[in-house]
Amino acid sequence: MKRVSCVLLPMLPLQILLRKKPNWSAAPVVVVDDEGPNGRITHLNALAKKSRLRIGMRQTVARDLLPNLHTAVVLPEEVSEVCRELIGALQTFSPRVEAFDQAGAFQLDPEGLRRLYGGYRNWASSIHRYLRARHWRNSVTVGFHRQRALAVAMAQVGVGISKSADEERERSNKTVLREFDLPGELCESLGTLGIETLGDFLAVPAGELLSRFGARASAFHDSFADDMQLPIQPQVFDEPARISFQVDPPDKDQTRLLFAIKGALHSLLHQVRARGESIQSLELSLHLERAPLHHEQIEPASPTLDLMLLLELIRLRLGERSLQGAVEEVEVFAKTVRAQAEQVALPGHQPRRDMRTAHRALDRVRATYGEQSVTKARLREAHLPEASFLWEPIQHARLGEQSESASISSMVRRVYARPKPLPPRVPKEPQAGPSLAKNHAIEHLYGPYRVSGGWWKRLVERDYYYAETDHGDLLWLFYDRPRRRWFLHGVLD
Amino acid sequence: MSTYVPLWVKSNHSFLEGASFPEELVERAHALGLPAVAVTDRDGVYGLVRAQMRAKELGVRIVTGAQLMVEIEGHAQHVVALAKTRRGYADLCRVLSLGHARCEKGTSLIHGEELAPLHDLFFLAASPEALRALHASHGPSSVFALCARHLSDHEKPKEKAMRSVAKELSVQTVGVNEVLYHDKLRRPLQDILACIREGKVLSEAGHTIYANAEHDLKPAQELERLFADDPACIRRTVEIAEQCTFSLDDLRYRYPEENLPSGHSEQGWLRDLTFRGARKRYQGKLPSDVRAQIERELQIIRKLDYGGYFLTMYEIVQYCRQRNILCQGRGSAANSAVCFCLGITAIDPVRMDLLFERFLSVERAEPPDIDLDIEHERREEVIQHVYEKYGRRRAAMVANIIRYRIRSAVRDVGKVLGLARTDLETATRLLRHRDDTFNTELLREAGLDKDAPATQQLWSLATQVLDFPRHLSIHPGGFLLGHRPVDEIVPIEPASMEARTVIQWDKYDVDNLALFKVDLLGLGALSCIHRAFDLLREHKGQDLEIATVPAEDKATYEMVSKGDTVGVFQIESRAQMAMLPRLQPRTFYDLVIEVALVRPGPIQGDMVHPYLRRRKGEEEVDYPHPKLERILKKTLGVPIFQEQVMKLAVDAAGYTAGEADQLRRDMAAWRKSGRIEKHRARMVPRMLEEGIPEEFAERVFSQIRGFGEYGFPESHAASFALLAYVTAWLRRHHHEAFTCAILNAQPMGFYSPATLVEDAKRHGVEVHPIDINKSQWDCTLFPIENEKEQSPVDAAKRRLYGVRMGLRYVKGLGVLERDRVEATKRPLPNLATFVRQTGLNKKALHALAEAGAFECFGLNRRNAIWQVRSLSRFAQDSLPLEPASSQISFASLASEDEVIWDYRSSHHSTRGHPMRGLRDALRSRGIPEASRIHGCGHGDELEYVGMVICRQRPGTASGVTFFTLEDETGFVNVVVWKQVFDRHAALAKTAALLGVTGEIQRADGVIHLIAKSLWAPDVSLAEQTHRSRDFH
Repeated sequence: MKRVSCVLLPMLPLQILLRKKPNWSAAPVVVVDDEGPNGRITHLNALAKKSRLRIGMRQTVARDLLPNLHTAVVLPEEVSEVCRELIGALQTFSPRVEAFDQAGAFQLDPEGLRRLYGGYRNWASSIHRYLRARHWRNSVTVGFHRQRALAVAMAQVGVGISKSADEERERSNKTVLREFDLPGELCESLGTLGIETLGDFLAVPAGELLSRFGARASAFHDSFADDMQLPIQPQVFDEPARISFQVDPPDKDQTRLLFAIKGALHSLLHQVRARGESIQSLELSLHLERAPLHHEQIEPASPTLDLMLLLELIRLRLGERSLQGAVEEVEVFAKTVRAQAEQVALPGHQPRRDMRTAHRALDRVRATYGEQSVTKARLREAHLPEASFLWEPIQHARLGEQSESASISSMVRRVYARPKPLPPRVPKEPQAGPSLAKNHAIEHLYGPYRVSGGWWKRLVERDYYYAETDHGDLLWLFYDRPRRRWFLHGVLD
Repeated sequence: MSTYVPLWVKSNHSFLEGASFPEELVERAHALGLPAVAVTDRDGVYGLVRAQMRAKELGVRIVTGAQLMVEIEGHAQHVVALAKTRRGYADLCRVLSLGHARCEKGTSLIHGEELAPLHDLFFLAASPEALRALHASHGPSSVFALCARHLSDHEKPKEKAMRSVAKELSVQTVGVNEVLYHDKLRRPLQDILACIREGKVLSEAGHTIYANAEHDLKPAQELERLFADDPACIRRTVEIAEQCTFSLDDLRYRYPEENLPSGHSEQGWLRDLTFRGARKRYQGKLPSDVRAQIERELQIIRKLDYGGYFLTMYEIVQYCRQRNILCQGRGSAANSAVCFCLGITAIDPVRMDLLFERFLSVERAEPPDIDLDIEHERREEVIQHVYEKYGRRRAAMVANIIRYRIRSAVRDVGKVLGLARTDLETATRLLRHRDDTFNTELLREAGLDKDAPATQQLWSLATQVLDFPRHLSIHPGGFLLGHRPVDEIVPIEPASMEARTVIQWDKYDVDNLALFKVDLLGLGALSCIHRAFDLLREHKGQDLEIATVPAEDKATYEMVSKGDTVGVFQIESRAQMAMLPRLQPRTFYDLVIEVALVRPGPIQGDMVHPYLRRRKGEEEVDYPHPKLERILKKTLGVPIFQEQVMKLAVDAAGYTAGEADQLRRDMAAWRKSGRIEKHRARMVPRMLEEGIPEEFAERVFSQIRGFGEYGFPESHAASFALLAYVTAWLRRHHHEAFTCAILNAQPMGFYSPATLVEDAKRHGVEVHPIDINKSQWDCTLFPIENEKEQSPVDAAKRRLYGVRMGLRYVKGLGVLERDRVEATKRPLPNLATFVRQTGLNKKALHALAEAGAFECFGLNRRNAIWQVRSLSRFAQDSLPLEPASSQISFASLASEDEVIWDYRSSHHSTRGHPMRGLRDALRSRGIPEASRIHGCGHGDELEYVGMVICRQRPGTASGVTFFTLEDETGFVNVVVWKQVFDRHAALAKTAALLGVTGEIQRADGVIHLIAKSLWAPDVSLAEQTHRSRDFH
């Protein structure tokens, strides 16, 4: 009879939390589903349990009982990330690993590498030790039925090998239903009938469950039927698209290097295309002779399989760099995404601007001057001028949006990235006014317009003025009260 | 002479916007030498009274107004409205009421055309659109173009546009800044409030907060400097203020006249009714002292023109009588013979020698204060009657302003500062168990770094925001009634509760303006008494009223003297129960003293033990000064009642009537202890001068301080004592009817239904479980079968009736289920028929099955649950077809489990006490039951295990927590000292079943177990059975 194995990391979100906060381990700790007072406890450690806290209890109630309780939310993304890492680790023990719906539970095919370990127990113990060494609390079972193997893992600590299906059935039947990832309400309803363990539950005729307890109960019951056992659906190995080649003799000439990269890139694109994917970004690692490794990241505006485009971007980037040594080896990693079929644009509906060309142009600028070189201003609500916009890098050019205020005529202020301090003047009080460079005098000063705030972080107090000089220039100045100094913040057109 | 009056000033009663109290703004205006200051709260006059009171003290004039939100050309615009005259003020209130009526709670929107007929107001328009619209309706004389200069760069173009329109329309400009705080230091707090209002954090506040700190109350010179280019617009503020002559003092409030029978004057009709009532009260023989008292009272009432108020109260009481709603006046009204004769109160003040002047006096000329207690379940009927009778414009409820307390302050301010919500939750939870203060230790415990800037800001700002208004709520029962529409005195707005409207002032404002308030309060005890009387009438043919319950019943006093008072109004608490065997009440007046004695006032004043010793003859009755004998004679030389303390202040400390009245007001201002403290310096030295010992003087003052927490006047205690006596009498003589009534009147009182049921069972009342074929919605009485009547001797079992628990106790059943079950003719033959006929949903059926209500169909609870889970799918089928399914049989519950299920499904059990299942195990370990503990001697050390039914930590007990534990034989009172509690905090706070090791303390027949340690008994039962009632 074919064997199955289950690896269980109980209370995985709590384990993740305690790894992040090791100094909490001696205190009562709970994981809640929301930071607010109504967030409910989803997982708790033994100390919290001892203090009479329970799963499902609201945070506000729990804090009433234990005012210094440690609580935190563990996001599903964090759990998924850990599960992904765990799957990767478990794949070293068996090529066939599947994650159960229940977080922290994995099914493994024990047959693959079992012989290497000299039997199921050794194999299972190796996994247990491996995880324990990495501070994961876990149990590992080898049995005959995927759900029952999980049930046995829930009820035990360490390693358990079922010798026969009957033994597995007997042991799994004792597992308390609440250990399974079943809705609390369902467990409670079953509990009222005295159905507390898996054995109690499976003794109920399957046909009576759907109408009384719903689809979840019925499906759970069915999952234990021998004839409905699903085969393992292993996680696919997530191998990055990668290619590398030696340069012999080491070479520094960019034309020759590009020619060599072109060949490698061709093969890489072939690989990626075969997987139904396209390239989102390229990571180029150049091993240099007697010099540190040189890295470059190249990102086209949109995922692509265009060899010439990628090569052009690499050419532009390398053209801007001077390598510190001859290249001995080249590695190219491709970050890929699933390829999207492009919609064919209807004739006559082409935009007047060629966005594709614009993207390509921006790609080239980025490839030449770096990823941060193309930015746009994002407006923000703030009183401080420099806080009222933010430069952020962009990947894609977009058609300009017609601003409602575009038609309103207003003075255009050209703002300095950093306000320029004006020469100090004695006395330093604002009444003395600013002093400008030689041959410039202020004829009119309009203001002040006061901006103060940020008291919660760093107090800012500025009196802004518009200054008209004898040369007809319009300046935008401010007197910084804490620093007692005048600054030029911009000029007006 | 100042050249400027701030005309656009919002106090912190512009909720979550203004950052200074009205008093602070007035004080600042006074300090700046401003002759007047306007109060223009957002959409209302919320802070007006407080400002006015302070302004009167300082001699500053208040210009009355509001900032209105007005819809003009489809856009909401701000307009500041200022009342020129009384009529203008009335218009302002009325239009604000209209604005609020059409909006959701807390907001107002006035339609532009609604302002058109209002000519006694000045309008300051803040936008060109508003200026045009108001000019069109009012012309240039009442409308001004508001120019504000807060040094913000976008104000300049706006002002330019305003001035241009003003010039075009020949409207004058007025230079006014928006004032949100009295001092620039409050700017951070204003930012915080703005963020709380918009639900933002500071770092993302953007334009939610202002650009600078220029919204303070500035001196005139600064405004002159700001408007140096147009000084006339500043001077105009003074001209406007001078023309706004209205003051709140001009409010001429008149109480509504009642509809009088033809040929009667108000006073004549009151006199008629009073004497008619008096003849009834005194069975036609009106004693001369009563007649004299009535005449004296009527004279004072006529002099003060308060007849209408008494007639209103009479009318409300009559309404209650006609609708068979039990009600009773309490408070100082019980000092009035007129109230007694009108049936408003039930205490004879002449026989009780109560002082009428405590209620009403010509010198004080204050409105009388009558609190009317009404059955809590029917109070809404009376409230709606008042609305209906006087109309929505002439009657509205008084507001209760919800203010920031330390926990809400920390939570809201911390959220805005961006602190982690989990840390804030920890901090607020820690605060609950401490005094209402804020300290660094607490922040550390909450995981906050006390030196971090954010923590320090939290500390500082949360302290500043304390006592700031947050939003408006409804006073529990206070009504403002007016002869003229109330909305001409104060705006009325809809409350969050359906069919309720509320004024913008709270009870302190109403008191300060000497307006008449009618308090209609809900009282569970009256519901209980009413229900008990109905049961006695229905089942035993006894027709009783409060007044006809046999007086001074010996058996009742015997029961009370044993402290056997579970469920008895006012004297059922642990503290009262412990006092009763010491005081041994034997007369009604003893009960009056009992009610008043166990209160913070007498306890803090250390008056309890001297009184008890004197009562028992262990201490000689003497008086600190001969002239105090008259005041203290009734209470054996020990001041117990609030009136006595006031009289002491007059006679022993030389207080004038006015000072004594101030003392009363300060005592009534609950928790405003600062107001009471000032009397110490005045009172104690004066008493010493009179030759009164310092120790007594200090004790009297401690008691006054205690009254600041909560103290009773004698009349109030007497009113409550009457209800205490009636409920005690019912419990003593008709325990089954009393139990049934109190169970149907829940929630009320001190004890849970489970405890009430257990208490009834211990007193021999048969309580039967919920049965779907026999139970009604309410608990009912049922005749006990004859053979049981003849069963042996136990006197308690000779009762004729038992109690059947009602369906109201099944958790999860509501009004809908009640209607469906009551519409079904029962008994029914089987569960399938019940399901089909009632059509109840699965949840309700499950709840009934879990409660054991289907056992009448021969189904144990588990089998019933299994069946209803299937049958509920066919609930809507009209044909009596049962689904074909295999019936699985589940084991019946063990008897201990039955009790647990009872508690889980209905919060009580008639089948047994959860402790009974543990008794053998406990007995084998030598742990006694409650009844045996009562036989233990002083100093005995023992262990005890019981269910926690109550935890109480009174403020007067220096951190001691009192536990009441219960088992199947009775209660045990456990005293847990602070250090023991702290040592076992988690267990002490959470355990439903608690083990105590301690020592017996026995005194005057009262037994306490003084805990040395607490422990969790090694039994799993009862985890889910009991929820204690905790009072902190």
